[in-house]
Amino acid sequence: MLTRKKIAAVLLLLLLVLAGMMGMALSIGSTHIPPVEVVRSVWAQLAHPRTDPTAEVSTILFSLRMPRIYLAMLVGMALAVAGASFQALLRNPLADPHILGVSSGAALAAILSIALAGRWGIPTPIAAFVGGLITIVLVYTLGSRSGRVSAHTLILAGIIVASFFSSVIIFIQPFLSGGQLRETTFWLTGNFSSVQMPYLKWVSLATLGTVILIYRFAGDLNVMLIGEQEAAHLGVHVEWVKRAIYVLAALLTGLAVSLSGSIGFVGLIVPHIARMLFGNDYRLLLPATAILGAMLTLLADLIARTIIAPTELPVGAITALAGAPVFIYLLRRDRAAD
Amino acid sequence: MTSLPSERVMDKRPPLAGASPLELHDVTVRLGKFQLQPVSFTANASEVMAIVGPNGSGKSTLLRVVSGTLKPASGWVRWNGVDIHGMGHRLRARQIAVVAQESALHFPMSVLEYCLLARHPFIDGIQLASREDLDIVRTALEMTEAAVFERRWMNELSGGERQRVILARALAQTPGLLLLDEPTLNLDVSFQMGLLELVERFAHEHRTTVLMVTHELNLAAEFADRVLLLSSGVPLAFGSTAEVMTEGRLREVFNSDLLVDQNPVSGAARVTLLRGKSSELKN
Repeated sequence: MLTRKKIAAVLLLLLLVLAGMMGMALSIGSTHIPPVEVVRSVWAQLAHPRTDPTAEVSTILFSLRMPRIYLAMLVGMALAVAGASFQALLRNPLADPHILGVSSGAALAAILSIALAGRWGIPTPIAAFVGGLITIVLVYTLGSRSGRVSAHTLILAGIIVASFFSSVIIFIQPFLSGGQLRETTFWLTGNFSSVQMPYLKWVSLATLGTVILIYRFAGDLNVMLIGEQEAAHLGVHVEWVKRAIYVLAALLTGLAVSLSGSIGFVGLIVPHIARMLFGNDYRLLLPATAILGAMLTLLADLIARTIIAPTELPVGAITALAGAPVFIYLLRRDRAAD
Repeated sequence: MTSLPSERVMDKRPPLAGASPLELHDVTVRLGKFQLQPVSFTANASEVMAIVGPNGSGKSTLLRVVSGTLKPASGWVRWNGVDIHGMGHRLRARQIAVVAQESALHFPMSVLEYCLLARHPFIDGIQLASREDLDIVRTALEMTEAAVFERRWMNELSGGERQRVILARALAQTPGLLLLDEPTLNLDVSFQMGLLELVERFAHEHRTTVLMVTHELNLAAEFADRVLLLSSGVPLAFGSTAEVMTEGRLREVFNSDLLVDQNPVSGAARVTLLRGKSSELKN
C-alpha cells in the first residue's frame, strides 16, 4: 500500500538523480566545463544572485545551457504528465499526448505562421498554442455526444483531425522557401534550440499550474482505471472528471508543443516506465512521471546537441530513435506477462 | 465460508429508524423503445430482495436506477428518506455498493490495490488510505476468502476468484444497500451457493439491504425474502417467493414448460425446467 513515506522517498531520490543529470548537462558541450567548476559556479550564483555573470564560464552556464536545460525539463514534464492523464482518461495504456490531435493542430498553426511570417507577424509559439486550443475544442465537439465524452469517439475524432491537419501541412509545404522548410521540419520533429525567454515565464507558470490541477484528480484517476461504470459506483463524478482531465491534459500538450514542437514518445514511454517502477497509483505516478519526463528529455536533448556536434539533431529524432525500441520491448514484456 | 472476523471495523452505521430504508415510488424509465412501467416497493434492513424476469424485462435497468447512475423518467428512489438522485456522488457511494459485470482491466493491478479503491468515497482529495481503511478492506477480503491471494494480479484470477474479489470490494464500501447484478454468472454451483450464503449473512449481521437481479430462479427462491417479477417492463408481481413464483405465472412469463414444487430440504420454491415447449427459439 502507498504511504506518505514511500512517496517522499521515491520523489526525493528522483529529484537527486535529476539534479545530477542537470549538472552533467551543464558540464557537457562544445566547451567542456569540469563538474567541479559547474558546482562552484552554481553555488556562487545561488549565494549571490545579484553578481553579474560576465565571466565566460558563467555566460555559457547560465545564458546558454541553463535556459535550454530548463526548457527541456519543462516540456518533458508536461508531455509525460499529459500522457499519464490521457491514459487514465481513455483507459488505454497506449495513449499518448499526441493521440487527440492537439500537436497536429499546433503544428499546422505554427507552419502557417512560418509561411506567412511576413504578413501576419504572429510569433510561432503563440500561433502554435492557439492552434492547439482550437484543436482541443474541435476534437471535443466532434468526440462528445449530448454532453457525454466517450473514449472511443474521442480517439476517433483525434485521429481524424490529426490526419486532416497533417495532409494540410503536406499541402502547404511545396509553397515554402528552403529556409522556411527547414524551420518547418525542425518544428515537426521538435527541438529546444529556440528558447523564447519572454514566453517561458508565463508558460512555466501555466504548465506548473495545470500539473497541480491534474494532481488534484489523482484519486479519481485511480478509480477511473478500472472502468467508468465502476468509478461512478465508487463516487467519482465521471463526466466531470473526464471533461476536466481532457481539457487540462490537452492544454498541457498545447503548452509543451508551443515551446518545442511535437516531441514524440516521451508521453508514452515515461508513464510506462513509471508504472513499471512505482505501480499505478496516480498519487505517486503523476509526480514520478513528471520528474522522469524531465529526465528523459534532458538526456535526449544532451544527446541531440552533442552526438554529432557542432551539428545539432532535432530532439524528437532522438526520443523516437530511443523510444521505439524501448516501447517495443515494454509491449513484448507486457504480452509475456499476460 | 469462514465466520466474519473483526466486526467492529465494518459496522459503523447509526442504527436505523423504524421505516424501510429503501423506498421506490412510481419509478418509470424510458430508454429508447424500452419503457419501464411504474414500480413501487420498499425494502427493509437485513432484507434480501430478488428481481427476476426474462431477458429484456428491465431488471438491470431498474437496478441502475436504484444505484443512482440512471435517472428515472418519473417517480423517485429514496434511501433513508433522501432522494438517491439528488445525492452527491461520493455521499451515495458511501452507502450504496454495486456488483455488476465488470469492465475489462487494461492496467495491471493487485487484488489489494483493487479493493482499496472501495475506500475512495471515504478518502478526501489526494489523501492516502489510512490504517483503518486497510483493516476494512482486509476484513472484506477475509469474508469472501480472497485474502489469501491479495498480492496476486487481478488478470491472473479465475472467474470464481475474481467474483469473490469484486464482492469483497463492494463489502469494503461498508454499504447500507448492496446491489447485485447477476452475481452468480459464470460461477460453478458450489461458488453460487457460497457467494449468496455470504451475502445473506452479511445482510443479517450488518443490517444491509440487498437487491439482487438474477436469472437463477432457484437461487432467488432460496435466498430472497421477497421477489419482484418483471416482464417486458411491467412489474407483474411483488411479494414473498411463494406468492410470486407460482407455476402458472412463471410458465406464462418465461413462455416455457416448467414445474414448481418445494425443495425437500429448505422448503423453498423449486423450479424445474421441462423439455417441450421451451423458449421463444422455436416460435
